[in-house]
Amino acid sequence: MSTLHVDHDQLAAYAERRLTPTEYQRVEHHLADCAECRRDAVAVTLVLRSDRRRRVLRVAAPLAAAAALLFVLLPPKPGPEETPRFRPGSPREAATVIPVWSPTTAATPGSDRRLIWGSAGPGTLYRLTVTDSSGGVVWTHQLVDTIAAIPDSASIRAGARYHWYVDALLVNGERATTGLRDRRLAP
Amino acid sequence: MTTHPPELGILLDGAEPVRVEAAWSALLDRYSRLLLKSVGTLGGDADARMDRYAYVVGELRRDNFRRLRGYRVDATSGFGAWLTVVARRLALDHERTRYGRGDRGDGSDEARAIRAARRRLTELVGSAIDLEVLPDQRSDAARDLAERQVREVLESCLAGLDSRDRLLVRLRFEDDVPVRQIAVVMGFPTVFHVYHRLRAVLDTLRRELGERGVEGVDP
Repeated sequence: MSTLHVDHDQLAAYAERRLTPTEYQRVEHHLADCAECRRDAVAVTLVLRSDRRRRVLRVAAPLAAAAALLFVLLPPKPGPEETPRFRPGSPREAATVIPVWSPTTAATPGSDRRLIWGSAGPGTLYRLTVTDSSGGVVWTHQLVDTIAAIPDSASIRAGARYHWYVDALLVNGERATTGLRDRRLAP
Repeated sequence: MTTHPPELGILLDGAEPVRVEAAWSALLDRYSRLLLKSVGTLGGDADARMDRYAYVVGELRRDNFRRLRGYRVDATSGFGAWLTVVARRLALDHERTRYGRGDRGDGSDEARAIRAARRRLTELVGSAIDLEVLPDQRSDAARDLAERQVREVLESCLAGLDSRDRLLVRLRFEDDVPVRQIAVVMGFPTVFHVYHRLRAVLDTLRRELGERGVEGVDP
């Protein structure tokens, strides 16, 4: 393999996320301008990921079977009320779109942190996620209401643009989302 | 630092032939699935994949396992990941030997796809140009010239981006990699983060185009 390309070890380590930040940056610098190594990086990363999933399933399947057997055989114990949890997903998996009532720009002082969306039905649990303009999550909150205010502790600078979205878990197990929304804090 | 799989140690330590054969079989048993997946990334039907697999296995064995000796004791990567890269690159060499360098010829499907993807990027970033600078009454020649100029300025703007942002743009618009896969490859936590970053980068590109005198671009 030509020395002009990322060597086997570095490319494999990139796919496995084993590089130091400096090495990572150096490899990405090369990938940005080398279509061949880029294709290698994508292919190898996806192969390793699918192989890892297969191994996890191979280990997890017998454990899941054993757990199911225990669940059937053991009598239920009284315990704390179960809290519904969100599974990580994507907008494509969410069949329903929730309407948003918050305007893009704040009409009154203080309202730039207030977010309002439509109800997806009684008993729905909502997860609100707020990110800064670079995509970093600055605040996330689970609630049953359809209005929330971003706390001052969430690190968004005055005047900065931010993004937010709400994922909903309906009582019938289906998912819904507002999709990605933009807002800007008052200066 | 990583550890060698035990079979590899036996192969490379020059043990007696019977042990070497047993170790080679064990190594193939353990990694055949990964090798098949790796050579499968180049596409093709089952025959083509098996042909590549046979070639890769032959190359790994050749010259007393010369290729496998390339895996260093102090390697950063795991052996399986390293082997996946080696197998893909060997298979790619094999394909090129048989069919030529498909990604170099201007007339290949891949080259056409790359050109199409670049055009998509130009159209996406310069969408305002399509509407305002290139009205329908302009001649085809004038439109082609304007598009070529936009593409040249765009290439220059891309070169000025941070390398991670440039990689993101190239993966999405030149290689046409789905956003979900980009998140995996580049280590973004979710697809939303990819979309956020892409949007920010495209905003930057639009602004740069405007600053470099490409008319009709909203900063």
